[in-house]
Amino acid sequence: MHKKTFLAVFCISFTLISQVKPEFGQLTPKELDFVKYEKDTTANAVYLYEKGENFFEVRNNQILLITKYHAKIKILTQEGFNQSTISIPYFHNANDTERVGLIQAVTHNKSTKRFLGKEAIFKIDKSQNRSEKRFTFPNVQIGSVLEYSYEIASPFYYNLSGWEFQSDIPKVYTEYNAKIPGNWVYNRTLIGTLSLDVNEATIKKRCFQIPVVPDPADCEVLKYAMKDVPAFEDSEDFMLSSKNYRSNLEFELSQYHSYKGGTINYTKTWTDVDKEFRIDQDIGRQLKKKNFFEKKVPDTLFTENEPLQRAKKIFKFVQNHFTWNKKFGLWRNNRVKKAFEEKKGSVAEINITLINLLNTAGFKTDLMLLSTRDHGLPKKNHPVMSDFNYIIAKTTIAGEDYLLDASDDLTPFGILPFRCLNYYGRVMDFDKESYWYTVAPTKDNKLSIRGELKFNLEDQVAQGSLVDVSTGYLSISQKEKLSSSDKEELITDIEEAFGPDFYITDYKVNEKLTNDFKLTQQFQFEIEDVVQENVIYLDPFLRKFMRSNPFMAEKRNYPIDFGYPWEFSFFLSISVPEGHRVKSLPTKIGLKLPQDSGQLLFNCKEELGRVNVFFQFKIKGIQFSSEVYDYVKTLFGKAVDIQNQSVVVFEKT
Amino acid sequence: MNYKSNNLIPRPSMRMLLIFLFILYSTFCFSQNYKFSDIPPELLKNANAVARLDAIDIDIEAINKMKYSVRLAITVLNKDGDKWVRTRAAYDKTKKIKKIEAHIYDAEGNEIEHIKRKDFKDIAAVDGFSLYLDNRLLFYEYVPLQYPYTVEFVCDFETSDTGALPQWYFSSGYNMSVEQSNYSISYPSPELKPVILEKNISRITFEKKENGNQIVYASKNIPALKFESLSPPFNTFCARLSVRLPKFHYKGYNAEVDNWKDMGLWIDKNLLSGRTELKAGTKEKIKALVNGVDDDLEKAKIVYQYVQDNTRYISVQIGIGGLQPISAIEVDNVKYGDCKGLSNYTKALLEAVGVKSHYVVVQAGAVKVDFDDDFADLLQGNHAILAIPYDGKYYWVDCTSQVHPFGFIGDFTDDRKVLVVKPEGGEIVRTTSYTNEENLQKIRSSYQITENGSILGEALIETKGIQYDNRFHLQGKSKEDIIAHYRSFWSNINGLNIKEYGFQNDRNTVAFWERVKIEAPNYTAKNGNDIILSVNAFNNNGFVPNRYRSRKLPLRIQRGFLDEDECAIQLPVGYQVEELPSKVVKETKFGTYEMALVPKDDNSLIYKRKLLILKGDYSKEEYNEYRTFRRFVAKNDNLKLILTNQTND
Repeated sequence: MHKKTFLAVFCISFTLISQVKPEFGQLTPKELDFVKYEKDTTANAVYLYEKGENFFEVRNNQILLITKYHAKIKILTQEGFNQSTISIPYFHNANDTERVGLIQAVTHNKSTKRFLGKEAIFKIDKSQNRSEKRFTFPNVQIGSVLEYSYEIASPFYYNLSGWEFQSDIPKVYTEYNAKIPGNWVYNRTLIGTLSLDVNEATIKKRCFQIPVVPDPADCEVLKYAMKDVPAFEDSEDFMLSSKNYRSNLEFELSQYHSYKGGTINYTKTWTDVDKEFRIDQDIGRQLKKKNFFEKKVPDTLFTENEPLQRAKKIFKFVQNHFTWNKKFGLWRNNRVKKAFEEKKGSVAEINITLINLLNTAGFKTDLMLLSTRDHGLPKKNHPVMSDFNYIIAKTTIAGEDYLLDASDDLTPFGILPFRCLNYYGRVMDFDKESYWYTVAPTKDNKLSIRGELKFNLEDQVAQGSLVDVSTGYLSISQKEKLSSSDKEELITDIEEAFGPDFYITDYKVNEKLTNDFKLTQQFQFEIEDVVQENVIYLDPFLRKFMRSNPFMAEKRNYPIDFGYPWEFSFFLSISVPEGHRVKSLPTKIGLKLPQDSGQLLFNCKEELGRVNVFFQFKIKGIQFSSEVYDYVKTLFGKAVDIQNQSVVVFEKT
Repeated sequence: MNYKSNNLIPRPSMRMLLIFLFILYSTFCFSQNYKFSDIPPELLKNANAVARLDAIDIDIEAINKMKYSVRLAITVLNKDGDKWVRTRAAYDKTKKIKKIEAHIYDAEGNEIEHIKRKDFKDIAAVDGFSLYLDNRLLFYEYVPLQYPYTVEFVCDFETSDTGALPQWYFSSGYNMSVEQSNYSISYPSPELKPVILEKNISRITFEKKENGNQIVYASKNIPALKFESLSPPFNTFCARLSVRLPKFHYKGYNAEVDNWKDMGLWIDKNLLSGRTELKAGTKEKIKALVNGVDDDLEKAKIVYQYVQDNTRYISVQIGIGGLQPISAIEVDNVKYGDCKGLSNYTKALLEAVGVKSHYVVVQAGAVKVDFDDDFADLLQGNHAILAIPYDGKYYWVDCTSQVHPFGFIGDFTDDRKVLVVKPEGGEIVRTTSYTNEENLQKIRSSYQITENGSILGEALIETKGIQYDNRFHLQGKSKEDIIAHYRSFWSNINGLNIKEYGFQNDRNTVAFWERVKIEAPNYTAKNGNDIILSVNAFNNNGFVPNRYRSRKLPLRIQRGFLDEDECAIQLPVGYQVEELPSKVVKETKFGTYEMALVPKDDNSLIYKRKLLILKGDYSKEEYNEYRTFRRFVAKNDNLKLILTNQTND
């Protein structure tokens, strides 16, 4: 009796297992009958099933990390056809390569199956180290189910990188499995707001054996799955990296206990990381080139007495000395001496040079690890080194902290390029221990235009002058434009920004009122065709800050992030034309965001024969959650309306 | 990195003019000095880069053996000039790179870097749209340290293909000047003497010499041109050479081609014949589809629909894939193909139902480019379509589109000379043109202004011709894309909300209708008690061509169009227009603008507008007149009315 029960239980669990392990090329009745994805009727295609697996295996005396992948995609519309071309990327270096094998693909149509021919699989070399296998499914129609599977055998253990639960199309079911022998330790993090439907971790005894080692290792067996995963919405304007929000399970190799004895620590605790950094060939050792730099740079660099001036001088020197090769180059092949000699290098090489020089000049300066906005926020619970992709310098001068990046030519001292405004980074203090440090953007980012205008009725034109002052990040973008175009181009560009009737008769940069943080430009202008017969309509916004509302979508999926607070202001004083009077003026408007995190003011007033137009649009907060989206949308909408619709009307007396 | 085909135009390499004097020097005696200060000042004007030497030296050794070396030394003056530096070369099975290297010089002409063959990366070529190409690329990415700098690139090729000789551009594009441009070609025997077509060569001063079996062109000091909008394409007016051999070899085939008739015969015989076979089952299937239909054009429409419903465009280029379609059987098997494969497949299906059609090679793109009537070579054309002869005319169909109506080719292949490949030889024919009034957009609309200044409205938009082509894709788009389209189409309406939309597509007459209901809170502005209204809500054309202080290039309006608008405007209760503007009519050689606003009853107005823009080529002096016309249009389209509240008076 007992025996029987045992058998029955065994049988049941056996069938359960066989159900979740589908044969390739077979659709379940449910998959066959699938016509519409009720949970998202706008989907162009949907994953009916997706499964990935990672485990280790000995092949030809080499331990390899095996990845197996299997997916079934239902095509729902013609736009979904772009799901039918598949790329399988793989990595190789001078010594070894990953191998993609066992590629199978089949298109299921109503009653037919069409398998992919071997000749239709192409190999494409993308770069020195990256290639991909590529194919497209045959006979794709609306309603087809595209099924494929493959395997990658990798000698690179760090390429066990996790699982992307969410993609650009929804998934009915997606599952990830891993069987990891105790020799390998991976840190793992679940990113995004969705939760796991299956979350299992068990230990399997004696599961991994290699020929030369007598005792098999125990394995951790993991299974994670999600059901009905919505499509990941596209990136929106003004946001941090979408990586911060996409549901994704990340693995990072932390430790490897080699069978030959010994342990390699990849990452574990910040204490370990700190220790490794100090001796790392590409980073820590590169910070100890004091002697080299002392010899190579002009002595006068260190002779300035005033500390801040001395630091600024060094910063300028590094900024001018290097041409940035547009690479960040955090982890690989940093050679600051060579970069210095060649006068070009990565962000890492440039900023490590800067750190070396500042330390030489007597300023306590540390390397700070950063992740750029595109690269996502670094995880704080444990060190994940691949979360970082950027190096800056953190220095302290007369008790004041500064964050410095000398890679861009126009970045002022103490301001980081926009790409770095990603909230926090890790300062690698080699004397003590590393710590998190906040990246706070400068608050002074203004664009202010002030001017006056008078009519010349005889020539049917309006004439006047404008002063355009920008500061902080808003000045950097303008300076970039200035430095890259000649004067005629520049004037034409500015004229075009103002409109077809606008002519600049004089333009200059006011050098006295221009410095690292600030740019002052002055114009004289003439506007043609502004005078009508009886009534004069004047659009006072000679220049618009924004022509359309960037926030038009009904709903916002991710928080808005501007990176820094900013302010636009506009003031124009218009002389009432001779023989005319003011007929009507735009209505006054004032609006504020909750918690005073932004405001909009607009006011036109007639005073002493002039009409004074004042407009101010200010965002004081940096990040706005989706909940306050509607307020932000309204504020921007109103700001755009004001700029596009305002008319000052004069009539003949 | 995007490897674009126009960069395939091989340039560089030099052979000296006075070949006899310098005969003792090898071609490698070019330790030239690329000092920045040696550049003549007139070459710096408008230039981002200066080609110090742009030379090619082609040596045809036999019908199936050709060597050529390219030498290009570019002095780059600023960031925008970087794109003119060339440090890459493409190769394939029949074209080998024998030598490749580059030297970098600073402003003083001192060598600062020598890039050797092993420094070049060897990767697969990509064109941005193909699944696979069997071309490969050697390339090196140079990061400039400072400006100016000079990159001298040297590359020697050897190929068995003499059917696609490098073309020669004396200057390669805008904002680059040329100090020295040399073209040289030598041939083994009179029967392999190249045919050279000189184009726009009077624009430059040049020397041409023929010595024995060698032809040499040289030109000096070609100033840089600046790009100007609405100008004809660069290659229609720049000085260049088209070169071909009367007898050539290409990817395993020999040919003797003197004109397009010959070329057509050769393509038909070698690249197309035998490619239209189909399995019996497929033939039966397609015959069944046209069962009972007698008319050939009707049959063709059914076949085209079948192709559109069952295939998709995927480009795979292998071997002679650049020219030869994959067989119809193969396309039938996998239900995808590139333009050649899908055209040939459709041709095969048409054949199966007894309808004649011809394979057509065309230079596709929104910019119209003609085949040269009197110069038959393999380099012209980048796309394939079909021509179906019926009732004394051709119907053109593009088989890569799953949505275009039968016989409508849109702005991708319209109005240009193409090669029609017939069994009796090739023929140059012009495709259908869509011009002026044929590109119609008619908007019938109405809106009412509420007392709080919002508008509620409805528009019925009808489009034809190229305007149809721009619009009919909407019907397959997602709601988000459709809303995004209207937001940009009516960007003049702030805070636009799309309440409802619907489409109707008549593929027979090629006409598209959109019916859209909108709402826009705050469309109008309040000035005290007055309401300021921008009258023309639904077709406000603010386009004004760029201003040029001194225009250098002529004006080209490629197609022309006609817009007709009528809108009924309901004013808010109690408001009136103080003074209605008078009717506007402006007729110019570029087209016509008309606008009128008439009262309908006490509380409503009718707004009428017409804008006709005519296709045409105009002189550079006329550009400003055109700009003035468009300013006039923009200004009138932006007409504002003051609505005053009568009850408050």
